[in-house]
Amino acid sequence: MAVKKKKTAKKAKKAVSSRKVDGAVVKSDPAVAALKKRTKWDESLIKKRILALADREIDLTCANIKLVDSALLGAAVSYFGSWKSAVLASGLDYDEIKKASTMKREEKIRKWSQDKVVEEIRRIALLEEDLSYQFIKEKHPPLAAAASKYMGSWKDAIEKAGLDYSDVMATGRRKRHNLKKEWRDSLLLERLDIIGVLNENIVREKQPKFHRMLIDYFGDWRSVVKALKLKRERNDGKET
Amino acid sequence: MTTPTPPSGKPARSGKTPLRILLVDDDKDIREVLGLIIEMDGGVVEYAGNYYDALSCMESTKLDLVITDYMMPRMHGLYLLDMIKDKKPDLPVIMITAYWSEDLEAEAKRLGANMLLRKPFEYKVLLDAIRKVL
Repeated sequence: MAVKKKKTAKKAKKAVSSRKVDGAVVKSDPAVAALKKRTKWDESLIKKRILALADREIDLTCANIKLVDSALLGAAVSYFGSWKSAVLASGLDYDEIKKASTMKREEKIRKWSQDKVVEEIRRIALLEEDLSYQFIKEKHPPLAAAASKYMGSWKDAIEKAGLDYSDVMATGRRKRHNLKKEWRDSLLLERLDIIGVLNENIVREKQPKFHRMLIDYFGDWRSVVKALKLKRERNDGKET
Repeated sequence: MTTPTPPSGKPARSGKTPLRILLVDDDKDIREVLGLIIEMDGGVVEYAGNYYDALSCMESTKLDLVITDYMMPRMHGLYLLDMIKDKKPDLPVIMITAYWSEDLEAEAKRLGANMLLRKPFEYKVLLDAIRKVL
């Protein structure tokens, strides 16, 4: 009886959630809704998806699937035990896939050379971009890979480009810190501008937490007002 | 966030119950600032500094929206996104990132992100995004 009740409750819960799903589908982008539906995994859907990726000549190594379709990878591991088993179950030769992937990667990197890596690092340095490895790996992944391949490490690549690695790291950290500070301050000032009141007592009384945060980050109220005026001037300048 | 809160530009909501938003960012300053200004507009903000806290909050709290950073230590925001959409496909997710690329945008969309915002953004951009995804 208890089991039956549980089952009925489960059914009811399912019905409610499916109504919710239907409601959202009506409201949301149909493409997104279609993608959401795909998460109802089973073995045949996983195999179908793997074969569809193979048809599109997507690199089917585990490392690449982790990047391009982590949901599929997760489902494959839970249904087949491993990604390789899922690929094999789809009728594909995993060793061949790995070989092809390695060759492709090497070919991509072959287009680079030590000189090209150095040249690219110098170009990016001139643009005053962040040259920390973390940034380069995200923004310029082929350069990061080529540097590792041809120079051994990012540090060596930076030094071969005639730059001081510790300077580069410090500059990167400083740039990230400044950007973050600038953004944080700008968000606070924008919110203060929405309030539209520059009287410290009123802001302190109405929004004590916000007032405290402004003082923590800007030092005193005079600096807050000064920074807001500067921001308004800059925005006016942009608009005109 | 409640509908009648002034001024204009606040995220719209048909009911009067406040929006419950999970804000996931490993950067404490940004988390606090974004959270506070959202709270000032009537939202109720839950905070998480990493993937695990975010998932546990998601399990224990009824949320209307998740705003998550993409680049976090140990676990990408994309994994969190994937996990959220697997567990709660209808829960809107706005992903924020300083490392925007076309590939990332495509992947985030494919995994079901409702919006991808490039840091640094203005607060009004976030408000617009919240309004759009709800």
